[in-house]
Amino acid sequence: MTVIEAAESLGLEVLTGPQGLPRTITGACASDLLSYVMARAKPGYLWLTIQVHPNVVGVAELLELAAVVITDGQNPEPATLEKAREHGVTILTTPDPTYAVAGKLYGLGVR
Amino acid sequence: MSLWRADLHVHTVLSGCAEPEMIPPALVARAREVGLDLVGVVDHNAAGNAVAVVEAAGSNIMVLPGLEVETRESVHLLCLFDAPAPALEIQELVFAHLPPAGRIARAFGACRLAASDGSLVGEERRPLYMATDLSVEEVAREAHHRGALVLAAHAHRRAHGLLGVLGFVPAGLALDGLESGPGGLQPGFLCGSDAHRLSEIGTRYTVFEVETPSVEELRRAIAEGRFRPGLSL
Repeated sequence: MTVIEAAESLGLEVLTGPQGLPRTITGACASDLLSYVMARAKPGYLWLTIQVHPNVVGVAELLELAAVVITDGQNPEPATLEKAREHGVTILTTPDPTYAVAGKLYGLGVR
Repeated sequence: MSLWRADLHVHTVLSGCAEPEMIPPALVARAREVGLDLVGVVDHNAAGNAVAVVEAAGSNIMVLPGLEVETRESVHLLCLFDAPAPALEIQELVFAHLPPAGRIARAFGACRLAASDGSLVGEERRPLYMATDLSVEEVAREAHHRGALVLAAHAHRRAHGLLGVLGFVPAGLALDGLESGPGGLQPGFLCGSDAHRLSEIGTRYTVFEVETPSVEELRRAIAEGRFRPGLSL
């Protein structure tokens, strides 16, 4: 599944990094501890989080994640969006909580 | 220059998770007993007992009043001041950015206001155990604006540590230093006990080489590496 397919299936809004939408999702993780994500996530992962700090972009870039989904209607800080645009990191948002998004993704075959 | 043995991370009964024994005179007595010269009094999102500890300390020991603010990212920042007034100012800002009181979660313990003689004079009913909606950058900026020394508390901890929660020190975040923890000493990191009971005071400490332990001098000492963290477990 690609990021754009996931975004369409789940109704995610694309905030930054549209160039990343054709990327294939290789897996996913859901965590709000950036240190945990840095230790566990792999390139091509989709990352679900409620964190909105600019460091989210740093982690996504460092690990070459497919995209970040900011859940639960949390609004990324302006500095986060700016950094994401600058570094070409794809950020998606949804009003749905992490639990629901993870469940739907799992049902769609992202394991 | 002289050496100041400091524990900049000590709680009082105003932190619901602290033991009832953490009243100002007992805290000061224990700090003296274990050979501390300087104590930072920081309660979760509150500075209401800092004045009482300053008063209880008299001229026996130096006390930096402050608070341990929980940011929206769930990171704990220590904000320490030369005097109580700016600490109480930041407390007002923090209170304005906490969620509404609602139900008091007894599981987190009562938050008690104490006088310098140790008597309990009130209860803080705001949800001090919750996160504010201020970012790490906003807290650091507001605290610095009021003359604070801003430190990342127990930076390595996954629960509320800057490095645990945000992975690495954010670019451009104006921090004066980082406290290590949990675990052993880390080069370049300060050490504080995060004492919630008397027996923990001073078990993790930092020796600073400064003339007097003002915020400004401590900041310079950290920047210039004139400090040495220590464990006394």
